[in-house]
Amino acid sequence: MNDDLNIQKLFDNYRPTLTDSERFNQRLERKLALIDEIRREQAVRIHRYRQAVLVAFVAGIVFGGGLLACILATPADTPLFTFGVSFSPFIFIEQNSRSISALLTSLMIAFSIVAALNTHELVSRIRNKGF
Amino acid sequence: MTREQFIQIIQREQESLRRFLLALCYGNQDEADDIAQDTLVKAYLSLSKYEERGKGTAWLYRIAYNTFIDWDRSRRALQPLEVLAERTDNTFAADRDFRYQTLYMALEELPPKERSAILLFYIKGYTIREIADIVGATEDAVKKQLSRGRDKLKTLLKDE
Repeated sequence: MNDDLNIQKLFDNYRPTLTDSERFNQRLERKLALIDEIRREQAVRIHRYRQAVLVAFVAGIVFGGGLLACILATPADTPLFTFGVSFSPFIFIEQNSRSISALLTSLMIAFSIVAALNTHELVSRIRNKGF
Repeated sequence: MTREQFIQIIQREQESLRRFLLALCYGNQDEADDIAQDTLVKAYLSLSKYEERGKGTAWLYRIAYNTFIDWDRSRRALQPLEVLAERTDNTFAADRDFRYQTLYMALEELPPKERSAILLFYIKGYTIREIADIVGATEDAVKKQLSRGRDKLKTLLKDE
């Protein structure tokens, strides 16, 4: 018990001389300023990245949607394109060119949506990492 | 929170943190200062967590403890065992505050976890539950560390 009190007393009186606080603070402030600079840089990059993704996303939807509308507006009995070759797979493609083009365009739109969502998640993860 | 606000908050706790780390590094000022700098940088990076946890300082000591443990681990990995074994007591003599030479020598003999528990308990006045939270251990484990550390300290300080 007495020893416990002595240990407590020993630590109560523990007031060591520290190195110069001003120098310590200056060193710390320099590091924190660097962190802020990196954060600012990163915020600008994320902003630019987001803008680019948004532009690509909107362009993909508009272009894809327009293309899809054009394809659907063409007469159903006229093929969109012909190969001019009498090879059965090509003839099949020519006959179903409208549906195949619509399917490919839809896939392109879906891909642009998924890519935009992935990028959004990636940016969120970078933000949550601390910087 | 801005950098200036963070520095204001830290200034209140900074000396206490540095004293704690100085004891944890058994008087080696350079190492204690480096760990304190790393701790405060990490604290700045995780400010959002601090804001969620309110105004206590245990979070800062948790970062300090983890930083110290990481630093101790890497130091052991970098330094060959023979060097650690052969290290004499006056290795850091120039840095050591003469008044606390005996205390530092005794603290040096304690394993890092026991030393941390002892210092959080006696210097910072944290409860066993708070220490358990800081070091990420159970309350029973902290009680054992404290008891073992206390016994070793008593013996070592009596020998001096």
